[in-house]
Amino acid sequence: MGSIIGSINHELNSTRSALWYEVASGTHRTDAWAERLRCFIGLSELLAEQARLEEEQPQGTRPQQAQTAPRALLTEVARRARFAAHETVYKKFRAEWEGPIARWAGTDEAVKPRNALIAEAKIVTFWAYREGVLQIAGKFDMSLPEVAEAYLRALAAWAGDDVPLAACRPAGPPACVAEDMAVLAMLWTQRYHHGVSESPEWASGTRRGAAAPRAAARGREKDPVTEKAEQLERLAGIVVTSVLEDPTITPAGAFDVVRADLARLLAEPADPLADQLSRAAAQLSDRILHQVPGDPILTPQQASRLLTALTGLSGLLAPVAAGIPQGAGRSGVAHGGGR
Amino acid sequence: MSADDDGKRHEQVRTAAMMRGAAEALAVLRHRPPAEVRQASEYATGLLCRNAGQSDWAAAGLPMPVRVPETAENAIPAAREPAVHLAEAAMDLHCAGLRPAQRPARWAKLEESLAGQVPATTRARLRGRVDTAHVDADDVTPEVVSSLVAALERNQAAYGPNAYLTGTARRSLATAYRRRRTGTDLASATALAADDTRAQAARYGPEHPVTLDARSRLALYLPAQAESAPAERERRDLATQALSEITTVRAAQDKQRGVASPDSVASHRREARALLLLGEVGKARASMDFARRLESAAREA
Repeated sequence: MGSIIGSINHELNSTRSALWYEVASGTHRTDAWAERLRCFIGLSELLAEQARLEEEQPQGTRPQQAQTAPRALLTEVARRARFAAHETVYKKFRAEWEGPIARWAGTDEAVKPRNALIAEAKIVTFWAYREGVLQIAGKFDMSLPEVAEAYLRALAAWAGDDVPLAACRPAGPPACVAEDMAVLAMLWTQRYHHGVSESPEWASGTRRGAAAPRAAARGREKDPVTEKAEQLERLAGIVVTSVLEDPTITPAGAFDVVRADLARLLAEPADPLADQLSRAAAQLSDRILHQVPGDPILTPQQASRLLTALTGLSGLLAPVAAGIPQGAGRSGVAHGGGR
Repeated sequence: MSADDDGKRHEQVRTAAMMRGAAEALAVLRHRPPAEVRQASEYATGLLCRNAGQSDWAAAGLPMPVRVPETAENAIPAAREPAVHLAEAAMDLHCAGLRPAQRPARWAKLEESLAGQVPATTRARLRGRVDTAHVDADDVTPEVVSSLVAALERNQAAYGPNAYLTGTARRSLATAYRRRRTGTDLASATALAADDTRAQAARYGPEHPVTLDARSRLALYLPAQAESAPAERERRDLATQALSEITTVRAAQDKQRGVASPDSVASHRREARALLLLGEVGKARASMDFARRLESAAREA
C-alpha cells in the first residue's frame, strides 16, 4: 500500500476551519487579520492575568472558574487590543459581523460574540502548532498513527503553553480538532473498510452548513466514520484535560494517557473470531501455567485433541502470516501496516 | 506599538508555535530506522537554524544539516522555550544513533550552551536530561544521584507529590538506585516504585496502561531486592509480593495487548524469576519455556 500522507495533508487542508483560516488570514486582508490577532493576544493576556490573580488568592477563597461577564470580557479585550471604540470586538464577533473577515462561528445567532471570540482564539492560536505537525508529517511521509500521535502531542503542547485559554469555557481543544479527527477517521475507514469513502459532511469544507456530528447522528445509527471520529475526539479531549489537571505534564506524558486507546482505535480491525481465540488461548495458557497441583485443567485426551486442532490451525495460519495469497475465493489475508 | 511591531510580534508567535508543533512531531520519528532518525535530527537542527536566530548549534552538540538554512526575518531568540524544545527533540533523535556512553557528553554540551540564557525551570529540565543520560549509560556517580535526589525534592516542594514532574523525577531516581545497587539502593528503588504505582493507580485506576507500566517497574524491582535480601523470610515475602504484582499485571496485559505482545512476554519472564525465588522450579521453567516459545514464534512470523 502506498503513501497516505498526501491524502492526510490534502484532507486536513480542506476542512471547514482550514478553508476559513486560509481566507481569513489571506494577504489582501492583512490589516483586518492583524486586528483579529491583536484580539486573540489581548484575550490570552487577560485570561493569564485572571489566572494569576486566582492563584494568588488564598486556598479556599478562590472562586471556582471565575469568569468575566461576556460583555465586559469583550470590552476588556478591545482595550488590550488598543481599539478606540470598546464595541469594536463585539461587532467583529457577533452573528451579523462587521469587517472583511467572516467569523468562524458563522451566522448562527445562538453563538454569542464571547463564545465566537473564544472559539476562534483557540483555533487560531493552535493553527501554527498544527502546521508544524503537517510540515513534519509531509516531509517524513508519516503513517496515519504517526500523524495522530504527532497531532495529539502538539495539541498537548498548545494546551500547556496557554493553559488559561485551553481552560476557558467551554474548556477543551479548539473546535477544529473535531474536524481533523473526522478526517483521520475517514482515512482509517477508507483504508480498512473499502467502500466507505465519504468524509463526514460536517468535516468537509466543501459542504458548509452541515450538522455537527452529535446532532447529525441523533435519532439514527451512527456511521462508522462518525463513531470513530467521536472516539478520536474524545481522546483529544482527554489529552487537553490531562494538561489542565496537571500543568507539569509534558506533551509526551499527556499522550501516554491515551497511547493504548489510540493504538487500539487505529489498529487494523481484528477478526472477531481470531480475537476470541486469542483471548481463550491467553486464558488457557494462564490456567495451565498456574495450575494448582491435583486440580487438572484438561484430561490428556482433551489436551491431545486441542493440540491436534492447534497444530492444524498453525499450518493454515503460517502462509497467511507470511502474506502468501490463499486459493481462489479465499480472502483470508488482511492487508495493512505500510505507510 | 506600531503596526510593524505588531506584525513582527504576530509572526514570532506563529513561528514559536510552529516550532513547538514540529518538535512534537519530530519526537514521534524516534522509532524509525536509524538513517531516517538521523535525517530527522538534522532536519530539526535546520529548523532551529532558520527559526531560532543566530546561535552556534554545532557547538551545542547538535548535528548540522549539509546545507544550513538562512535565518528567517522573524526568527525567535535561541533561548526561547519553543527553540529549546526543538533543540531537545533534535538532540534526542541524534542520541538515538549514539551508544549510551556517548550521550551524556552531548546533553551536557547542550545544557552548557543554553544554561546561562534560560529560566530556572528550563535549566532544571536540561540538567534532568543530562542525569538521565548518565543513568542510561550505567554511570551512576554520587553526583548524579545527588542531582536526581535534589530534582525530586524540588519538584515535590514546587508541584506536590502527585504531579507528573514529581513522578518523572521519582522514576529516574529509582532507576539510578536500581542500577547502582549499593547499600539500601534496591530497597529505596522499590519504595520509590511503590510510591509511583500508588500515585498512578490513584490518578488513572489500577489497570490503566500508565499504571500497568508503573506496576511492571515495581515487579522488576521487587525480585531484584528479594535476591539481595539477607534473610530467607524477607526474600520469600518480597518474592511473593513480586509474583502477585506481576501476575496481575500480566493478566491485564494479556487482556489488553494480547498474550504474544512483547510486554506480556517480558512479564512471563519476570513471573518465572519470581517463581524461581519461591522455589517453584517446575512452574518457573514452564513460564520461561512459554515466554521463549512466544518469542521464537514472533521471530518466525
